[in-house]
Amino acid sequence: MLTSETIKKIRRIEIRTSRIVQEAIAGRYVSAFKGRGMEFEEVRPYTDGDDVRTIDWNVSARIGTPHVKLFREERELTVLLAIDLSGSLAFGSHSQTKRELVAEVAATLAFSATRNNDKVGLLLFSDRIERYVPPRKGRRHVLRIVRDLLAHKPIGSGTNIASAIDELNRIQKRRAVVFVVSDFLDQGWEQPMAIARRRHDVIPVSIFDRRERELPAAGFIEWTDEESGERVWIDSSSRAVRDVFRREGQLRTMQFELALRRLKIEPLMIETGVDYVEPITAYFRKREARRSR
Amino acid sequence: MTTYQTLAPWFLPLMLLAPIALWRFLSPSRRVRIGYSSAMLLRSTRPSLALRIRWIVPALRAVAIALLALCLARPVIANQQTKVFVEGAALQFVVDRSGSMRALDFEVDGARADRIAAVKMVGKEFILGDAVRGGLKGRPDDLIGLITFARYADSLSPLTLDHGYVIDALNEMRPADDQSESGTAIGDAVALGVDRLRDAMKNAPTVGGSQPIRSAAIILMTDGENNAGDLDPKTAADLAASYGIKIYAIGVGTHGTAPFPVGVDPFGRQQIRQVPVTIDEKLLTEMASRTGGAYFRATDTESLRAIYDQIDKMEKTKTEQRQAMHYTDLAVQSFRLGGFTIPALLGGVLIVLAAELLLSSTRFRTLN
Repeated sequence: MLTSETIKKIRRIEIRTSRIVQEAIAGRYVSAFKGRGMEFEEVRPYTDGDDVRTIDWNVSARIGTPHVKLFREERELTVLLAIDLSGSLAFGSHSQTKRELVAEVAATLAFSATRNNDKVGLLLFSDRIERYVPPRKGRRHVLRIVRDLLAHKPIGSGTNIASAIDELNRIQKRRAVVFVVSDFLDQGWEQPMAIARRRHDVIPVSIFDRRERELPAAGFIEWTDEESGERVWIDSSSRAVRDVFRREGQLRTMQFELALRRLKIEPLMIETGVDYVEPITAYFRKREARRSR
Repeated sequence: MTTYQTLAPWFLPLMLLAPIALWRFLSPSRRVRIGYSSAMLLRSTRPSLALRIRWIVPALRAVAIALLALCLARPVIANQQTKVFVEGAALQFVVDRSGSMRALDFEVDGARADRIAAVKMVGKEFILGDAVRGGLKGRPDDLIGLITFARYADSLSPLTLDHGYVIDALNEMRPADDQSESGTAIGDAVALGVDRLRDAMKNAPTVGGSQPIRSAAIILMTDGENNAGDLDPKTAADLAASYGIKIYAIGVGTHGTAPFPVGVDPFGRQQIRQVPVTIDEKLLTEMASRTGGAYFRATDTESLRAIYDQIDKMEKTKTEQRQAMHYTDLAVQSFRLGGFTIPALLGGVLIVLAAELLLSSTRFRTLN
């Protein structure tokens, strides 16, 4: 059921992300994923932001003003959003929870994709596959994806990234850009991801909260694990405890990055309560730079 | 006798409320739930010492509650105190010191002695008690005064509890040898004694509405007849009776004749002559009976002692025991226990609460 609250949320996300998509991400998204097929599309006058390398000097000389030559990918891209809905994402120490951030990031990516006429699919998972929406085109379809993102109440509370990627490998035969949006507080996902990597363009989007890496001195805190319900006391006033925690956090991040580097995958790290557009555009810029090398 | 007790024990069950302070500590569902992504991330940290003893804060709170309930129950150290109230008598000695008192018909320590010496000795035994023979207990709670008389009556000691002073005055008593003093003014002396007793009764501090002087008596000792003074002895006796004062009259002197020193011969030896004893027994008996007292005849030291014994028994000191409880309120008064001074319980409550507040807002601060 769609509540008016959810509808409002969808509208809000659409408005906000569409601006982001238009102003900040659009060009980057295109250049990050486009241009592989090299099918000629058109020649049009040069505008700001166009890559100077695409300027067709012959045409420019004939007409007198700079023109660029555009190529279109021979086939349309399929973007698949694998979204973690597990309990651990309900945590968030700032203005937003990780789940809210996930919704915004996913919506942004979906709108960016649909702007480029790409097919967008959705795979929601927790410790099981919660929902699968096959890739399709169109704005209505994207809105439906966003609605599912926001309104779906996960049945499971645990996390099983491995099974989600396995499922993805099974159902998505054609090459796709796969965003795996999760907090990656799970194990054993490296192997399936390596398999997925062979066929797809896999981009792990790691959503994290500052309080998962370091603790403030706030006295005793009894945390309740959102997934297992387990309660753990921690003495955040103790410097030793905070030091150990911070070191553990750094170690975990390093291990995560190392595991991905072995797969030759670069993760996109986004923190809650912080502007997420910047990391996304920076990531795309980096991809673009690497691709054009 | 010291006992610990509570004066309002019906408050004691409130101590059972103390575990409520532990409720939040013991029951996780009572605490605010703060969600976290994964307990796994926290598993690496070892619980600090403070975390392991964090029960100390609710424990302090529980102790404070229990102590407060205890304070409400009003714990006391009950000290039962027994107070002995003594109602003493007022005894006025009225002693003849006329020349005839020098008659040597008494014995002191086996030696022949005059009547004055015997009176002094036995009087002392009566007042202070006779430790040697154990017959007389002494009159420590009585007001005792001393009046001596010959022709004139003199008050040597007012009615007082300072018995040492009375004994001193008694020891200083000398027989009246001077011609101007000779005589026996029984009436005047008794009247002076009555006056003194009346003053004492009037001025005595009253305790609890009752006069501490339960009875007043005159112990009159004489060896002669009333032959001086302005007041008739019978009138004096009536006066005494009107104030409720008894007269114990003691005729001092043996029967028949008594040896009497009349002087020293040229060889330095004491000359003794037998002199007839003239005691107006009729008068003394009359005086005693008019006042409800008694007349005795002391013919020697032993009989004098026996008479005092009798008077001692007749004028019994009334003693009364009253028991009072003295409570030390442990809630508000510090007390001593096994050599330590324990501060008042309420003070303890304050200290415990302050400690709890201090700890829970500093090192033992808890977010949920």
